[in-house]
Amino acid sequence: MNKQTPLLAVNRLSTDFIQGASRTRAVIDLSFEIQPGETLAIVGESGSGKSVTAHSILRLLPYPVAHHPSGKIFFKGKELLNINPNKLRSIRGNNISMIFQEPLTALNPLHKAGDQIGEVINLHKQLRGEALKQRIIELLDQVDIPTDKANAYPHELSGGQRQRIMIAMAIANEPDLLIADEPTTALDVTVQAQILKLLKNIQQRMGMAILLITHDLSVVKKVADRVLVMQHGKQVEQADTQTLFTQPQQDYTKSLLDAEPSGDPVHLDLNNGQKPILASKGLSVNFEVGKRWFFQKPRLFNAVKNADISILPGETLGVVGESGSGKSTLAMALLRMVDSEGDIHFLDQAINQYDQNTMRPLRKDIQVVFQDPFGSLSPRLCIADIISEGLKVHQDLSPEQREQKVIDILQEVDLDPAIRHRYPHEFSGGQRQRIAIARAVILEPKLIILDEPTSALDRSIQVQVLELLKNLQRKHQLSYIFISHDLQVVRSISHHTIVMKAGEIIESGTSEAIFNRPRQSYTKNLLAAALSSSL
Amino acid sequence: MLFNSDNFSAINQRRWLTFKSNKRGYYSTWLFLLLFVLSLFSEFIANDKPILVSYEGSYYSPTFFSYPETTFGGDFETEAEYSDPFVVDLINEKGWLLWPVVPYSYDTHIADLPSPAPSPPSRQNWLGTDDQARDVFARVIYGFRVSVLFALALTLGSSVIGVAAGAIQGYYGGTIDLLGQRFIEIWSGLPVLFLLIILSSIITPSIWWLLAIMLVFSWTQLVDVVRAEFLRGRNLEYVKAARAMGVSNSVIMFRHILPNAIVATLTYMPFILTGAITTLTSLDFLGFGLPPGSASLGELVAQGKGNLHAGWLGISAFAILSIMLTLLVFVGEAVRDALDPRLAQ
Repeated sequence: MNKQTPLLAVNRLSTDFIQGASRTRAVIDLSFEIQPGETLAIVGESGSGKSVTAHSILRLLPYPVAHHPSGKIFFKGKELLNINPNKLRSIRGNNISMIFQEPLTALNPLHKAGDQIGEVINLHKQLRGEALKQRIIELLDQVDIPTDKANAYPHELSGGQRQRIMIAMAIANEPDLLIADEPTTALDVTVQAQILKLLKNIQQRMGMAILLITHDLSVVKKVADRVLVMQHGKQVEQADTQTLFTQPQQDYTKSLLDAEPSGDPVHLDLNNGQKPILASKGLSVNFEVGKRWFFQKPRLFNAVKNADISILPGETLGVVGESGSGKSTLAMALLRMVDSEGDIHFLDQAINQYDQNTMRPLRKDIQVVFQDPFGSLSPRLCIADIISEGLKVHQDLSPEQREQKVIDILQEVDLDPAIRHRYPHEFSGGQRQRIAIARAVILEPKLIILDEPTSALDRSIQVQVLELLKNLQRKHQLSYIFISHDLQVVRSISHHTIVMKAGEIIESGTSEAIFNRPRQSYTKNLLAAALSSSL
Repeated sequence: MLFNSDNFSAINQRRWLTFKSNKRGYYSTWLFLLLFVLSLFSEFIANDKPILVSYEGSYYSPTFFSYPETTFGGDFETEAEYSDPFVVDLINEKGWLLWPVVPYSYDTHIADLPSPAPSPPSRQNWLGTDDQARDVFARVIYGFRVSVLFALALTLGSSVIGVAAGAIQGYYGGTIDLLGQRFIEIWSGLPVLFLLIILSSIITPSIWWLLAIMLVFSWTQLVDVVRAEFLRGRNLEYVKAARAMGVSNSVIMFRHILPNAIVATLTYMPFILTGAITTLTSLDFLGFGLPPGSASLGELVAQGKGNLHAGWLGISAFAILSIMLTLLVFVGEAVRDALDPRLAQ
C-alpha cells in the first residue's frame, strides 16, 4: 500500500463537550491514519468515543457545545478542523461521505428513494435530466436494488434496502473515504452479512477507504484491515486485524475478545411426567390492517400463526428469528397483553379468555423483562419504588418488610442496596437491566419472559447479564422464554429453541439439535450468517 | 413522592438554571409576583376604612371587623362611616386613625371632588376618577387582583378537567378516544363568546357563575396535549412492564404517565392564564361579566371608550392590562424554554 501520504491523518485529536460548568472529555489525544483503499475499524463499547471521533472528522458535532482543545485532521494534506465552512461542505458527501446506523431516520420519509440519491449527486456535480436518471439507475444497480425501487418511498423499503439506498447515496460521488457508523447494527444477521459483502465489493471496485465504527467484533473480523480499540475516549491498541485477534497486547482488548457468550445452559433435571408450566396450542394473533368500511370483513395480518409451545419448570425456551417474525408478539400474547386465538395453559389454568382483572392474580407468576433498559424504567421513580411496585400490588407488606425485600433482591442481582434511593438515569445500561431483572424476580415468579434482554448491551455486559440469569434460574427453578435475534446468546442459555419466520414456528427442537443439525434451509442460513467468521 | 430526592432535582435544577438565565422571564416573574402579592393586600393599600383606629386606649381594625358608629361615640347603630369628617373628628378627639396610602376603596364614591367626575389625576386621586367618582388607582389594584385570582382559578379548574379527560382518552384509546375527540371538536366549534353572553343574560352572573360557565368551555384547551402524551406514554416499555406486573390502570396513569404529561401542561399554563384574563376583560367590557360595581378592568376599558375626553381612564386600563399580560407572556416563554428538553443545553 502507498505509504507516503495517508488519505486521512488524525493527529492528537481531542474533543470535549462543555455543558454549563461541566466538561466531558469524549476523545482524548487520538491519532490514527488511513491509507487509500484501506479499511480501518474503530472498536469500543458504548460511550468510548468512537462515534464522536467519526463525527469530528466532518465537524458534524453540536458546536460550540463540542470543541476541540487540540488536534489536527488532515485529509489529503488539507487541514479539516479549521477549514472554512464552504470548503468543508464541498468535501462532505463528495470526498468523504458517511452512512449512519439507523437507515429509517437517515432517509427523508417524504421523498422518493431515487430523488434522494439524485439530490446528493446534484449538490456536487452538474448532472441533469437523463444523465442524472442514468446515474441513479447505475448506483441502484451497484447496491443490488431493483431499479423500479427508485420510485419507492422509504417506508416501502425493508431495513436492508434502506441501508442500501444510504450506501448508494454515500458512494454517489465516488468518495475517497466512506465513514460507516455502525452500518449494520440495526439490521438482521442475514441482511447484515449481505450489506457487509456489498460494502466490501464496492470498496474493491472503487478503491475507496472505509472508516468503520462498530462495537461488533465479528463484523470487524470480516471486513477490516486494521483495528483501533478505544476505551474512555483513548486509544487502547492499534494493530492489523490478524495480529489483534491472534495476539492482543492489552488486557482490555483481551477482555473484549473473550467477551463472547459461551457456556452451556443450566443443567436440567428431566424427571418424566413433569407437567409444562406454560403451554400453548394453535396460538394465533391477528392484527387488523387498513381501514374497514361498514360490514366489510377486516383485512387481517397474521402476526403469529398456530404457535405450539411448551415449557417445563426450570427450562429455558429460546425464540429466535429476524425482526418482524412475530417473536415479541408471541410473548405479548402469552402475557395476555394482546388478544389471541387458541389455547394458553398456565399453571393448569386456561388463561386464553382471561381479562385484565382475572389475570391480575396470575401476574406475579409470569413476569417480563424488556429489551431497552433505558425505556423500561420509569425515569421519575427511584429504584426502590420501581422494584417494589409489583409487591404493592400482589403482597400485603409493611413498608419495612418491603424495604428489606428490595435490599435482598438488589444484593441478589449484584447491585449495591444503597442505590435504591437513586434514579434510573444515573445507571449504565447493564445496571438498568439488572434493576429490571430485580423488579421481575422480586415477586418470585415461576416464569420470566425475556424479550431481547441483552440486545442493547455491550458484549462484555451481555455475558454478565446472562451469567446472572443462569444463577437465578439455578437458585429459584425459574423458567425462561428467551427471545433474541442473537443466536450466540440463545445457544448459551436455552435448552429448547424455536425458530420463527413470518409468524410461523418453522423449526423447533432441543438447542443442541437446532444449532448442530438444522433441518430447514432458513435456519441454516441464519446460523451461517451469525456464527461464521468470514463473509 | 415526585420531588422527594435531591438526586432527582438534578434535572429540575438544570431547568431552574435555564429559567434563571432567561433574564427577561426571570425578572418578569419576580415583578409579577411582587405586584400580585401587593394586590393581595389591596385592603391595606387602598381602602375607605382606616387600617388601625385607636380610641380611648383600645385598638380597632375596621378592615377586618365592622364597628357601629356608637363605638366611637356617634349616634347610629350602623357601621361607622370613616370617610365622614364627623366620625373622623369624633375619633381624633380621643385617639387617632392610621389610614392606608390611598383612602378610597374600589367602590367609594368620592363626594368632595374639586371638578365634576371623571376628574383628572391629582394629588388625591393619582390616576384620576371615573365617571362615577370612584378612584381609578384603587379600582386598578382591586381589578388586577380579581383578574389574576379569577384566571388562576379558571386555569387550575380547566387543567384538572382537561388533564383527566386527555388522560382517559389517550390511555384507553379506541372508541373512548374516538368519541371524546369528536365531542371536543364539536364542543370547541361552539361560538364561546356568544354562548357566554346568552348564558350570562339568563342567570345573573356572580363571579362563581362566571367561573363555572367559562370552565365549561375552557377545559378543552389542554386535552390534546395531554392526550398525545398519554398515547405515547401507554406504549412505553415501563408502562408495559407495569401492566405485566398487574398494576391497575389508574395507578399506571397517575404514577407512570402523568409526570410526563405534567411538563407539557405546565408549559401551556401561563398562556391559558393570559387567555383567561383577556376573556374576563372582554366580557366585562361588553357588560356581561362581573356584577355591576365590582372592580373590573374590562369596565374601566369601557369607561375609557365612553369618556374619550378623559384620557386617563383609557390609558390606565391599557397600561395595567398590557403590563399584566406582557409580564405573563414573558414568564410563560421562560417556563416553556426551561421545560423544553430540546432547547436546554
